[in-house]
Amino acid sequence: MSHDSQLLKGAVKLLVLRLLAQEPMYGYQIIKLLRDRSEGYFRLGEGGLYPLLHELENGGLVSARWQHQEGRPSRRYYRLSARGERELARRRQQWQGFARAVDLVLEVSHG
Amino acid sequence: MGEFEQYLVHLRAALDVDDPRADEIIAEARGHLQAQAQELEEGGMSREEAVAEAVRIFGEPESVAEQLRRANGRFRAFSLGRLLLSMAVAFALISATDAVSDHLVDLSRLGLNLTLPEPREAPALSEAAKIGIVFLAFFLPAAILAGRRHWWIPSALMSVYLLGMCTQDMLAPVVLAHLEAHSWMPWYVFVWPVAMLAAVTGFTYGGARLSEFRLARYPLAAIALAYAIYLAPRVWQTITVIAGGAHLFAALTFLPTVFLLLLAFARRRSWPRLRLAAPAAIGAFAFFAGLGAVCSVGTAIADPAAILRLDLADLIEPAIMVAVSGAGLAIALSLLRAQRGDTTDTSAGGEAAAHRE
Repeated sequence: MSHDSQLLKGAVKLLVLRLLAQEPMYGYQIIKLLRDRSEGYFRLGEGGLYPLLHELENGGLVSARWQHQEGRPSRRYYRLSARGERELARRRQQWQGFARAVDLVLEVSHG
Repeated sequence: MGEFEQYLVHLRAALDVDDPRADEIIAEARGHLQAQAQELEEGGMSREEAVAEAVRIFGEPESVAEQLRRANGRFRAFSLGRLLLSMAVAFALISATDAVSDHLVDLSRLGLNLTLPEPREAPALSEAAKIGIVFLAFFLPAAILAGRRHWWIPSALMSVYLLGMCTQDMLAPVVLAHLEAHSWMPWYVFVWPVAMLAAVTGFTYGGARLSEFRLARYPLAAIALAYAIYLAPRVWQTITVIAGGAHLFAALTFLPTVFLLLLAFARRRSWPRLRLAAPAAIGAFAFFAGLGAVCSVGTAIADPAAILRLDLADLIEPAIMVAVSGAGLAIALSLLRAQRGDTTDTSAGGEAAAHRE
């Protein structure tokens, strides 16, 4: 299935914020979770996730912290900030309103 | 593990962000690629295939770097061209600040249609130029370096400086004249310092907000450099008259400014030797302060009566300058210490970045 890039970008930002609301995560973990939970629908260009994470970080929506691991590469964990939580709530509400409106139109069209 | 190095070198070369940020990005990408390759290997691929596939999935380095560069705009790398441009603008600003007020004073003296309301305001304009230069050359860079978290430190210093200037040069004659006539303190003397303090607070906070944008290093470095050029011909004059205090402000703010400039450049680890120049700047500051002290003591020995002729007003400005400059150096030193913590060995990428966090 092809993706509308604008729609996808907005959705991915929302989904990343939602995942980080659960617990701090590193980039690769986020990609795997997005892929697994969407049953393979969201297969991000992996290099594309980090610009998104950095954008969120520079916007103060998430904070990042390196975690050192013995004998393994260090990981950069992203954590949702209070501002990020508010942004998540806002985007979630926006998305729900959008999805509901689209559904309503689609139902009428089909009905 | 060096399998991804070629890819990561390409990625880094295309990034155009400053070194510490580039280190973090590359360390993060390396960790991702290793994890991805390991997973692919566990899925049955050979190591070579897994590495190649991980790189392919991650994306073309130029394309990934372009996205990363846009997302990390505040970490833009240093550029000589931008520095020179900022320097020219800053130098023009500083010159204008100084020249315009001087010309106003000269024109008013010539009796042109710019006569000031009262003669005592002529030195006040000159003081305004001095304040402008000190603010541009010292406090604004200090505010930028201090950042949002500590922006109030240079603001407080500038406020102390202004209060001293207002008290000594501008308000004292007004207040004294008023007291002689009325024996009560005029209310309006408080308006000027309060207004200036409000302005300083606003400007330094604005300067501190600039620290969010790494581009702030250009005006920062440019202001300091322009100030250095501006004062360079006056260095000898400054040395010779330092005991008199006339150019004390220049000597004492010049060195911290140079020091801050060095700090700004030392942040680039590609020029690590510049860090060695910072202690040299401290040494120079100590030299100036020592010279001032020696000259003062010498004056006192040669002409003890001169000390008796001094009044409080003669001591306020040097005292304020010393306090402000000392505090400026203290800030610079603490920033340097913090930066040393920031820029410890980053060759290991993520590990060093972990310390930064």
